[in-house]
Amino acid sequence: MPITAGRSVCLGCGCLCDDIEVIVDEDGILDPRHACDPGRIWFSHEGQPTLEATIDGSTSTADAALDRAAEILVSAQAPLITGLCGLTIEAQRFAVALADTLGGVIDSSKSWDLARQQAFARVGIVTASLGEVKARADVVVFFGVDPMVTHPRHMERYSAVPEGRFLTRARTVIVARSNSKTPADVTHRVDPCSQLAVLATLRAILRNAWLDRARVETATGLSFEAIQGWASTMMTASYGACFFGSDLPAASIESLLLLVRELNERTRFVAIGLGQAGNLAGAESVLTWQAGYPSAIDFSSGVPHSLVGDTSVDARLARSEGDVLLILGQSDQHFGTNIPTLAIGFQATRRLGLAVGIEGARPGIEARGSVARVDGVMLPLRAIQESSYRTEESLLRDLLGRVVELQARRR
Amino acid sequence: MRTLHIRGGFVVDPANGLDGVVADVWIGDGSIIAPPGDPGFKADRTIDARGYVVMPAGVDMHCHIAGSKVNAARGLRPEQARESKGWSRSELTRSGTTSTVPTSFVTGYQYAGLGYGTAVDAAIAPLGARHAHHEFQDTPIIDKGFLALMGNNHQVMDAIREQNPGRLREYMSWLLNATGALGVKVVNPGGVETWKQGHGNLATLDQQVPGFDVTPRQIMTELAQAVDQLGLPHPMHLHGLNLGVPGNAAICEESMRAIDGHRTHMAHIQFHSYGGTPTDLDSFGSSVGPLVDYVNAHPNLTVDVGQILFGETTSMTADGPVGQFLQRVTKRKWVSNDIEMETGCGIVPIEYRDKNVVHAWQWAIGLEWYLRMDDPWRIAMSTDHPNGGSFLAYPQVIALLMDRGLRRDVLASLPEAVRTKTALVDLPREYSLAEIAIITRAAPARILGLKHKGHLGIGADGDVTLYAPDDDKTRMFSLPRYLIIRGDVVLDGGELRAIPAGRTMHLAFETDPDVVRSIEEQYHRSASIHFSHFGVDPEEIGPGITVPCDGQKEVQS
Repeated sequence: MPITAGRSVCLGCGCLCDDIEVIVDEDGILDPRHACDPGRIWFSHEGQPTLEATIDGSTSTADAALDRAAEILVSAQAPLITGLCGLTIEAQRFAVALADTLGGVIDSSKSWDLARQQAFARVGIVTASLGEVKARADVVVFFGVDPMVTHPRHMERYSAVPEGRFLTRARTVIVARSNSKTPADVTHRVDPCSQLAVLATLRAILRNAWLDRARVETATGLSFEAIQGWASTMMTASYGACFFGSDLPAASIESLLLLVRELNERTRFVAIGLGQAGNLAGAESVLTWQAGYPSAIDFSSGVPHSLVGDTSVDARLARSEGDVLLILGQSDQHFGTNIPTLAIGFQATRRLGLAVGIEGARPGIEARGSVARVDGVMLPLRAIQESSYRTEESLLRDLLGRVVELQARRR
Repeated sequence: MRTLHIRGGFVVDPANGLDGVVADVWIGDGSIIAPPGDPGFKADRTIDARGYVVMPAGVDMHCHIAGSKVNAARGLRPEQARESKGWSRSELTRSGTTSTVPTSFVTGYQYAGLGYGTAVDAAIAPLGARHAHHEFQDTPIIDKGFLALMGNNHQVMDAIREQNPGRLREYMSWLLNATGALGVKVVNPGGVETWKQGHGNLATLDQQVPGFDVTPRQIMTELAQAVDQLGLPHPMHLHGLNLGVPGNAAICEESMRAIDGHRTHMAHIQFHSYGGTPTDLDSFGSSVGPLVDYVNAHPNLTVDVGQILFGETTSMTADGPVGQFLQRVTKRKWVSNDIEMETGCGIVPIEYRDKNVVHAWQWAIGLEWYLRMDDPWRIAMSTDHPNGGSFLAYPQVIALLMDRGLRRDVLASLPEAVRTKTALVDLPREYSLAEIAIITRAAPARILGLKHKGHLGIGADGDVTLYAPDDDKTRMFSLPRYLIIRGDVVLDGGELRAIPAGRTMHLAFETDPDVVRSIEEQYHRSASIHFSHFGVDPEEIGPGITVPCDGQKEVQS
């Protein structure tokens, strides 16, 4: 099963563009052809010079640091593990195994992702892979998002520009956002606090419900004609796609998912997230197939449990219900905790005050593996450059091995 | 050589003509070997199997256990995971949830607990192959593989329109190789693409797929022919048109005629055997009669049943329009996922109720198939897990097949319309132990073309299940005494003792670089990923077995 050589995946935003030709010059500088500006920054973001590993701030070898990390974790009563989104799927599989073995809590997500996960679990989703939008969608709605700013190549690659095999007419692009830089055929200035009302009104029009014109205009901030026109454009699409961000509250996401579902009584329509930088979709996928839930899993009873607001790492830290924190992969998040903290992964040893820090090779630049796009499509990452550090996957595999060994010895 | 001696059991090995004969089974380095010539030879381990029934390990040829569809179903149903007991972590096992869609590790453990050693996921979108292989690596103990969805694939339909069977075969062998698939699956050929375009579903074999100018009849016949010409171990695996629709037996029979002598496996045939008309639910009923007569008379055809069991489950299918139909009927949550150039996907929770006339008919129709098939070698047990019910229900199905009294008891609780009209009442047949061994191991292995599975002849995989004979067949088959996988005792008295990784079974083909280039040109037009990222690397597949096509040699890695 050969893979023809050549293209790389950019993890700089949720597009996960996989057509990047990376040229490496003699000094090891990367030139990522086809990448957008944020993408160029992602590729150019070199790791700062750093140590292989640290124990209590002092230089160490990775092996000694792994031994120490295993001892700390096995001795802990309630270890917390976070930072899955920066890891490859291969590394995530070991991370979840580690949490299970330790009886700890593991988490991938920030609170706004929980809103999307909950809305999905309540109503499901009518969705598609991004190539379907490229091939078929004659109506594209960007709801509450500004892809030109956050996902610069989204329109070019998937949603607005490409010629589709099944497109019989020009695409109509609708942007629903109060301040947007995304070019559109129609822009509806929807204020964030009116989003739910707008979605409810669109659903009502779809059902031919009687609507009070004045109340609609007050609630939505849009003219009655504008919102009717919007609904009509969606209903007359031959294939529509509605993109949404991860910052919508659960009720709005649920309403959007129901709107799209109901549109399928008249035509074909799909809802797709815009996605986020890194490998959040992979983290949710691995957690789900190994432990049954997409985030915030507590293994302490021996069986995975997940309850939003209770089993997340943030909630446990806030309630001081953890005695060790393990941060995986590259993460800028600050946790503001006094419990012993371990960090393993790219740029990990730069974090201050670590009990153990182990540096890892950078996924997609220095380490191979795979990642999932927001539509679930999994893409391979290849190593473009060599690294003096070990991959996060191999570090976590070895850490898991040491933990299992220590547990057996102490049993 | 590492040896295991299973001594003195009642060996039920239909492929080798053994029906409860007291015999020894020897395993050396994972495979069945001849008994050693030296009568004093002592194996590394001996199991005293006296009094036990010894069978090859079970083979599930049609289930949904991995990949994006199954995983979406897990994520869709946290309420079920919470209500379930869950699987506890131990020194040997990972923890997990045990809903109608168990987690990947639990799937491996539960199949082992049931005495099964092999399972084939029947519907993976090629674009989802990488995901499926990841999950397979986290599905321990069993050997597994998947069938790649092709019935709505654009390049397949293009090649058929262009009347270019050579191109079709080249594309298929490239696709099977690039995805690490075990065979070819066809789901609602052309119908899913038509529905994705917004033109509704196709209802007949001769409607055209818009934009492709091919018909379901052409797609299924050309693919069946190509599968035969490529010498694939498993025939075309067909889920035809109008699944679940009253009166669909007619198109099912028409499809079997259309195949015209090519090998074809008719998947979950229960869901395609309905009489009546879509507009009059009172007319709903069984049309197994003409279908089973046709299958009995045509040795090119095989079936698995897709038995339904009463209770809550999660339906999942690549047949997007069926998902939408079920969502309209049940009003429950719904996942639909269109996969570019390839397929659709629908997931809807469903509860089969014994007081519901349609559900009761479905239950009876499944059993009717088992009881009316003359040749057990051409019918495999399945619940189309988890569509008709969990694979954990197989012991219940076995009990119903072996005991007409039990069938009568269940029938008595069903709605009168079914009780009085079903042919079940007049079917006295009770399956023998050998026949059960055929439909749960020997036949599915043979239909899949897995020469090392489903029997205990020399060279077969050392996968063996031991059962304690029991009048309560549900209990007997729910609690195997031992499961041996490649010579290792994996299950002993209900406890897992070892967790081998299990292997991934797949096909392999050489492909001409010029052919790959031409596929790539077509691919870029509609794909959202770069062609070089489509294929799955050998290192992305776990420990593997390359299953040979006709004329190829077997390779293990």
